[in-house]
Amino acid sequence: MVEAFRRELGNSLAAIAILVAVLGVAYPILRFIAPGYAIYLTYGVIWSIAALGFNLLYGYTGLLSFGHATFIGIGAYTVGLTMKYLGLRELEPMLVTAMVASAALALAVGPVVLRYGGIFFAIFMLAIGQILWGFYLKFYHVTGGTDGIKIGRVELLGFDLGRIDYLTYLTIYHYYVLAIAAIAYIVMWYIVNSPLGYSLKAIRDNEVRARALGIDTLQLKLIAFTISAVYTGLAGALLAPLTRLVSPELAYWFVSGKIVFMTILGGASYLIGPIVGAIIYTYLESIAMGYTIYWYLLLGILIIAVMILSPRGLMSLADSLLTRARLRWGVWQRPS
Amino acid sequence: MALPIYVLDTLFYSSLLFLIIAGLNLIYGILRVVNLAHASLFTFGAYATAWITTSLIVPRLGENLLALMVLPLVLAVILVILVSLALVTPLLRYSQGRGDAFQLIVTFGLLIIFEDLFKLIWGPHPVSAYNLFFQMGFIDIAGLRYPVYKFYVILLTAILALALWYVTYRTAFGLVLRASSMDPHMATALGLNTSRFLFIVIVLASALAGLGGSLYIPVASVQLGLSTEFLVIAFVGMVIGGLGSFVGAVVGSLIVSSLRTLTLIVFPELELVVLYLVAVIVLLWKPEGIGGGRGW
Amino acid sequence: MAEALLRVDGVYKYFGGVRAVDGVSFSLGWGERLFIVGPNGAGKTTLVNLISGYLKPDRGRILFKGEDVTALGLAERVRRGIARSFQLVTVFDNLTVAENIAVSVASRLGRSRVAYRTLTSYRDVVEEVERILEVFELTDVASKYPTELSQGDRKILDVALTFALKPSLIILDEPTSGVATKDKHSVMERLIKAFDVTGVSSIIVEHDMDIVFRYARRVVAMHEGRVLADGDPASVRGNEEVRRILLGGVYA
Ligand SMILES: Nc1ncnc2c1ncn2[C@@H]1O[C@H](COP(=O)(O)OP(=O)(O)OP(=O)(O)O)[C@@H](O)[C@H]1O
Ligand SMILES: [Mg+2]
Repeated sequence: MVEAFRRELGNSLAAIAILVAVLGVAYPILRFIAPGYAIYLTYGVIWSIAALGFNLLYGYTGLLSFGHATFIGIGAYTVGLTMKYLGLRELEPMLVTAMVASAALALAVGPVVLRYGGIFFAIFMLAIGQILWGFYLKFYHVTGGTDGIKIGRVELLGFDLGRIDYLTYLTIYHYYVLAIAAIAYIVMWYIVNSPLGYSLKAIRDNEVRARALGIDTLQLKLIAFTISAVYTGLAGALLAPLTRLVSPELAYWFVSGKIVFMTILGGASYLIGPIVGAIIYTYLESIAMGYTIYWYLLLGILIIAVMILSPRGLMSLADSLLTRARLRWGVWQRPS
Repeated sequence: MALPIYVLDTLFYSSLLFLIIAGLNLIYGILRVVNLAHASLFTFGAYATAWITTSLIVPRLGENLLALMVLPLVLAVILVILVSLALVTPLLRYSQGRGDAFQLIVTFGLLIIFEDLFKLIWGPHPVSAYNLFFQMGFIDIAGLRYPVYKFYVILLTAILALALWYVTYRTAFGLVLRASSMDPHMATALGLNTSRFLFIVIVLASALAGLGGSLYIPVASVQLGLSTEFLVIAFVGMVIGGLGSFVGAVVGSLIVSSLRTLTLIVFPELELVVLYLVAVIVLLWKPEGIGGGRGW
Repeated sequence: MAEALLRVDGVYKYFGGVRAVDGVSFSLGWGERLFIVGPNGAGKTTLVNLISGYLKPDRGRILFKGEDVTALGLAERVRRGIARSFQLVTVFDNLTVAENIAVSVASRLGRSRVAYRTLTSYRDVVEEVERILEVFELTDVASKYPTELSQGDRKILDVALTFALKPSLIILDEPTSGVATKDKHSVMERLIKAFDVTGVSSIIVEHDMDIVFRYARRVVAMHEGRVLADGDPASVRGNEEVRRILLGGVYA
């Protein structure tokens, strides 16, 4: 009977475990063969948390936000401001604060922006992002304006990492981030396979019908929005120690578009699509930026190309390849 | 500053906004697409005008008032239309009927392509061309010097708005516009060449945005990021006035512009916040917008 | 007589000049099944919308389980046990048949918000999904997506979603519309069988007279917003006005 609840490719704890293992093993290998590129793996993992949160809204609930940089900004500035003004150096309380602040913002604006859905939601989120971005710039006596806030080394789990060499610090930070990401992935697995996850999909497919089944769709969308904000806020906070500078650029509208693209690149209808997309995107960006200053131009073309040629992303390509291989070699077929 | 100046500046800014919002509404009304790259055509118009003015007109014809008034504007609008035909039109046509998400993401792609095209062609630094502004001179209003150029823009836009009103309510084309904005199948039902009709709509909307940019540049400079700034404000105007409506474009641009003037006097940091809150209030009170609900 | 499950009491609904529902009264007992017939535009859908809470009447009252529900909204009526399906099939196209029903069951059990446990780890949900699949003969297609189903099965899934809410009254607006003619009877047969097993009351709007007179014990005939006749099939069929307006002599 439970087979009738179908899970898409990669929607299993085993797949998540493999993914995390790969991201763990790849780091020392990269450090060895292409040292300059190791740090982007950490970036990719952080962005994957943001994209995963974004996709609970987009892929699962059908709500496209063009303003998730808002929460990246909230997360990053939470770290920046607490370090600057409270002198705090332990990262964990800052992560928690960032998540709480993101949730608070989502709960405050959600009831309004979620009511109208569709285009309104997308662009209101863009507007909220622009508002906050403007704040970071305009209240420069607090935020440092375009100069931003410098971030020193943080303490992880109570350990002072001020004295170790920078490369070791980065390595430790990678595994720290990966551990948090692993928890975030597993929690997301529970969410999408929970009654809430299925109900969100129902809302995505047909909101009116979901309401007729007695589902309080606005409330569920608000829950999804809040979870989404918490994930993205967490990612923003984790970014700060790596970028070593919190500036308005982190909250710029382009960042929102980046998160959208990571997700569709990997595949919005797959649980692990955003993770795959975030890692690949991060490398794409870092490599392309080495060759050209016109990354926007390239990215714009890529976005349009993906949407037209493969709107379900790389995971769907992998999915159909696997299905074809299975048919060919007759190993195991999905129940139909 | 004296009150008349505030009023005039408000009208000036709302003229520019109207030219953007009218195009956004036209496209939304007929194609049901919100074009995130629409304000980029405004920016393109601004860059093109600055470039034509400083590189073509002034070196060849000098500071000739008539030449400065007509040539950059006409040439820039033609350029904008060509760019729109090459990039925007095919994509909008392709996106039609593929859902909100598709349209938003694809036009976002276009938005960032434009952003880099500007950088590629005109560089990362602000570009300006104040020639026309200074050539037109100033007059005294309430004891203050006020630029004639802003009058000119207000007047020109007012005439254009009237012409649009006339087309909308007094011509057969306007009838089709209004009918098909209420029911997307109407154009076909009326036996129209839908493809040509959509084409005209997109070109018209693009030309309005390009014109707006062209009129904007003599008083300010254009730089990267201008498109999103105007896009967000124009969208607020769309929501307040009413999505997809001509009257909505008039009402929306006037209200947004007035609010902007007020907040800039009182607390400039909160400009966007106030605009956004007003949009939300309007949406809660009249979801179809103050001037909307009846199609284009 | 025991108190009726539903009482519609002098209900009116006009749309501008159109008298969609023009003073309708009737009542429905517990476990009773009622067919509503009438030509296009007779006001059947409007009446159903009024009962289920999608529309508010201009005048008149609707009582459910003895309580006045006229002023209550849609969600509140669903909670009290009035559920309906639509004239057009509306199911969740990217969920399998079993998942579709599970969403509805989870909603009834008040679990739509639970995020920390998987849906399939709930024994009660899974068992109830199994039972509903069985009752509606959907077990064989449980793991298919609605788009892979026949029109008839899609329609049945649609009703099963509504049924999963365990309503006291289930309202179907033209359940066999859009179903291939040869399947209409089997669709209706499966629906009625499921309803009979559980004893739920039902109001079914139906165009196909053949079906109505085969499955009905009570029929309400509507025309221009009014009730022409209300009674057992034979008496409705015998009604002079019904004959003239509805049956056009075929069943005379
Ligand atoms: N929302 C509405 N606004 C205006 N008029 C309406 C509305 N809904 C229904 N009507 C009108 O009310 C009358 C009754 O419509 P209704 O849909 O209830 O009929 P019906 O019996 O269900 O017809 P059918 O057999 O075609 O489904 C029709 O004349 C219809 O045009
Ligand atoms: Mg009907």
